[in-house]
Amino acid sequence: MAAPELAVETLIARTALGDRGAFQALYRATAPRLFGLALLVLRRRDWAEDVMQEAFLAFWRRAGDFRPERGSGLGWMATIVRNRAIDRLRREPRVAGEPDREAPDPAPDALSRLVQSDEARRLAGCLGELDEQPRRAITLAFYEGLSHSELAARVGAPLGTVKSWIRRGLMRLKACFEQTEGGR
Amino acid sequence: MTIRDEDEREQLAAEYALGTLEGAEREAFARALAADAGLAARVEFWGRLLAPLTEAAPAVDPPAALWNRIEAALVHPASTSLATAGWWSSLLFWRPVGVVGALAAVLLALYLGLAPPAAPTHVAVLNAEGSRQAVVVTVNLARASIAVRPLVPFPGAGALELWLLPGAGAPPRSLGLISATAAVERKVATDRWQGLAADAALAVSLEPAGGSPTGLPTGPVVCSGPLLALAHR
Repeated sequence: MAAPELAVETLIARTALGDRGAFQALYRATAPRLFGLALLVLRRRDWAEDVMQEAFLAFWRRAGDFRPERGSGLGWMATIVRNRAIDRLRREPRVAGEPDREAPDPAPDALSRLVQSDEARRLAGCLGELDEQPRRAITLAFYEGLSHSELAARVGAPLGTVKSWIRRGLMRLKACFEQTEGGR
Repeated sequence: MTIRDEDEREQLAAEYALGTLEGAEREAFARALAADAGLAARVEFWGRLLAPLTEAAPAVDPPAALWNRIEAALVHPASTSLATAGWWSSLLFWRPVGVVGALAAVLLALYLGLAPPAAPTHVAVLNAEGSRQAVVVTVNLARASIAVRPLVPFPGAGALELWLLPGAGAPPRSLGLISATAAVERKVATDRWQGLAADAALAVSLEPAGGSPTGLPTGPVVCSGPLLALAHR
């Protein structure tokens, strides 16, 4: 019960060595955050569970691919979960107008909650420098898994306009990011 | 599709990582990505750049049954969409247990006094994480013999079949049924052992009475471990 809590990165390293106990501890430590993310993006419990299963099998097999110098373990895992959720959505889009009752709080104030890591603070700072519309488009796309056309419908703007917000916003984000990091 | 324009590559990689690409454009990009390591590196860069956003997602406890599903799929990945070519084709699945088992295998074999007198050429300790199940297998290629010794009796019903995974993606070869409780030593045809790769492994699967009807494993793997060559000098 009083086992010390190991860092996610340590648990990933042990998982890469085939330690199933570490893998289970990794699941316990990260599953609520990852499931919340999957649910946020997918808004369907059954899909979120499928995506979690796929993702954890991938973590088991590919834990050795994790590179700690490139970011946090939870960030690596969350990116994989989100990518799989997006894959799922693009294969089988949600029905338009489907009620969102299974979605957790869609984090309208996500930026202010981004205070946990240095990377998050840096990204929040860069996002804060964007114009209102690109910033909103990027965060909506990220948290709700919206495609270009879903985003256009959501914010009531022409597709081309939304695309250019996203492109402009992402490229400015990168410029800001590289400035604060001193290159990639 | 090859995307040549640098700006275009960067923008598409960013949009793919964000997830907004859709339809034919997304499919075309995914195809290009599979054949273009430079493009994949850009997608990875963008994934890393955006990853901190995930920190703001709320925590929601998944149903308790989800872990059971994941654990079951580890033992028997054929039930998931990831394993399309059969569980045995994924040698990556076998290797992790092996890393842990490698040292233990040699120590156990020495402890059991098997190494010097029987002069085995290979040894394997088969185990399953989360269970005490362990089988020590020693192989003597010169005598074409194999000794199988379960350290803990296998529970339950069904036939236990031992498989050689020659490695390098080659299909498993049956080494016959083993006892759930007793140590067994027997001859194994030498041709079974040809073409062993460095990542060769042994595994035991649960099969219908009489063994696998197909010549390939059909049931769940109950334990596995790498086949380690012993150096004699």
